[in-house]
Amino acid sequence: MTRDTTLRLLTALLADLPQAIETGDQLIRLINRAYAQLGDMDEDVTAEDIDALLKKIRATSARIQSFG
Amino acid sequence: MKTIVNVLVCASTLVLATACALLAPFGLDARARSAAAVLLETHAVLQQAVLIYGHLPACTTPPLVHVCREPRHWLAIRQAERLATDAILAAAPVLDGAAPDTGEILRAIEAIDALTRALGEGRRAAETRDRKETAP
Repeated sequence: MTRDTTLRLLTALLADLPQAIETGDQLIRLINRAYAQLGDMDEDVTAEDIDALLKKIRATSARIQSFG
Repeated sequence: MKTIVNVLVCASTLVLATACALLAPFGLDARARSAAAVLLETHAVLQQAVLIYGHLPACTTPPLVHVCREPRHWLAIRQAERLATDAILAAAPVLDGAAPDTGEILRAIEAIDALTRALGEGRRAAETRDRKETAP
């Protein structure tokens, strides 16, 4: 599995979290596996990858801060 | 729902520790950028935990629902999230290799850790309330 595939898996997982996850054990297994694969990868992360992550974080933060 | 928040906090703590370990021995080359991506993903996971907590109904007295959101903890969690995101955005030029690190990464890690603690306090408060409600 490539780093990009792992990132896509994580993104899909997090986007549908309440629907996709039936148990906490399932979630922790998925996240641990995905991050272990990320850590083992030798592929370079580009500046664009970092920018995309930063945009996602900024957008989610705006959602959180808009809550009452 | 509470289980999911608990697991997200535990998983994020684990990943944060991993990210710190990965970032420490490297300069900000491509390999370190990969570790930076892990750090950012960690925060993104924590943000999902915050969103889940934020969607819970507010706690009331007497309690109307089993799992709820306490306004005091929600305020602290939101504030910690904002500070962590601000710290990450301040570290952005360092994370993408455009600027040297003058402590921005450490501040971002500390802010993410503070968010993890705020979520943990919310979780512990929920557990304490649970025990009181279910006590005979």
